[in-house]
Amino acid sequence: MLRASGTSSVGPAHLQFGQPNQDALGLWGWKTGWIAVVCDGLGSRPLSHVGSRLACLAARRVTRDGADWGNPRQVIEDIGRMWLETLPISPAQAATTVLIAACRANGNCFVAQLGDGLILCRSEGEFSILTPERDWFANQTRSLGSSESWLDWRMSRLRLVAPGDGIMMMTDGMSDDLRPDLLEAFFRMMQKECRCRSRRRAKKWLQAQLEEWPTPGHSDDKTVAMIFRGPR
Amino acid sequence: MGFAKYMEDNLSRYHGATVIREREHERLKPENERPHSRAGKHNRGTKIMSEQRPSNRMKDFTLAQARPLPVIVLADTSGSMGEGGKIEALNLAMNDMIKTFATESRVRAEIQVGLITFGGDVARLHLTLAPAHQIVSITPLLASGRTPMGQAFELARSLLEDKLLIPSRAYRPVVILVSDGLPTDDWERSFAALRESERAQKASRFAMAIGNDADESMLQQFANDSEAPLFKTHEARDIHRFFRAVTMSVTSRTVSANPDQHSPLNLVEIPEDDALDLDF
Repeated sequence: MLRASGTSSVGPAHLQFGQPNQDALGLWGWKTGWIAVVCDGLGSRPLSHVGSRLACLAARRVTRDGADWGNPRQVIEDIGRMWLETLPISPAQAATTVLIAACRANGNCFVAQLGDGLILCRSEGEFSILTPERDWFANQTRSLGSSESWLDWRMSRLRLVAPGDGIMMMTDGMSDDLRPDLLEAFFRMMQKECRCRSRRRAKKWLQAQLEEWPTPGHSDDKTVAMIFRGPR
Repeated sequence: MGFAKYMEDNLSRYHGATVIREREHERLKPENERPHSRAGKHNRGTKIMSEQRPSNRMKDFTLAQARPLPVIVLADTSGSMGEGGKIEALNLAMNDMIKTFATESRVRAEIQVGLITFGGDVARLHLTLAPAHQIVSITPLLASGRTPMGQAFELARSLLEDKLLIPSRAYRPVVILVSDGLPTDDWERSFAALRESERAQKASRFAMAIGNDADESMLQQFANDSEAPLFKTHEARDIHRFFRAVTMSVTSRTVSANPDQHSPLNLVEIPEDDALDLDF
């Protein structure tokens, strides 16, 4: 059975200045599978918290309306179009990154990413980092609202069939502070902690972990979503 | 399983939406006012439903250093900088900047400083990139020889492209070029490579031209910040003003909600009783 957990925590910088969480998280059941969407509104854009939320909803709507993941380009373009149609402001003001995972009950998954963030996965027993290493610096990213080409997206197909298989998506407020040499161990730890809890308790546990983030000077919003296969 | 769910539902109903909503603000309260510090005062009814704060697992997997904000200075130490108090002003400005970075609150970032000098026949890494609060002192700069600015561009590019030295989690670096004369080496190719480098393109680059002999055209191309065009001066004291403006701009980033957004350079007058007041 596929399970899912996730949460989003507003960062200390936004708390201090009374600003909203610019990250957004969507986690929905989908035909006994799951859709997870994680978005990070660009800090420099005044209404990116609106953009990130609408991006989550656009991705959900396109997927639930019977998106053909066999034609990923069409799906990506539909998400972008839906986002623009629902946006009440100019795209540049609401720019956001997007991470999507759509998993069917049989374990077939489609994953797509535009911009910063990190996607880890374990597929058919093998761990991998789907996000390539960043060339630039923090907070310099492609996004909905600035990128116009579907080629800026990175896409993968996976199968979550073995116990312990799963996908983890997170915004760079978390991923930039993780030790690169411990990503696989981190992935296993998170799954283990969420697997032994109900969905509600897993969310509370995740929330507590993000609120007590240990890296000095951390300031960014933090969001994580996981879809994983439980033990048989 | 049923009992666990019963307890979970009771917990959920007790805490409710208002307490969950309050959690975001609790972190702003002093430690002794936060609910978890009052655990011993709860009555029996709430004690059953209270939950111990989970241990922090993230500390085993996260970096223990704040995000760096690198500041790299490319300083002209050619012979002409020895005239009119320019090298003295540059030394004073560098020390002042490092001292300010070291003492300012490191709220969101750890400011790191590196210094590349170009004078004589070679460019040198005079100060390796290091956290400002760990820099005890820098060897005073001396002016002599020619202006190998091309070598300085090569050194700067290699620094910026070194992902071990400047990781991708770093905030956008700041690069400052100060010069009073024309380059004397084969600089065009190195300059083009620096400008075409992906990482160097993403850095904020400021430039200062001192006196009539500086290559203003090249320095104008070096500066890539629309809010801080090339700064030109004929007075040594303005070196200090320029560095102070850059210092203020960088430190304001470290306490802002968005440290990647810089504030415009604000060149303020240095008080009249400042020790350095030399023209050339």
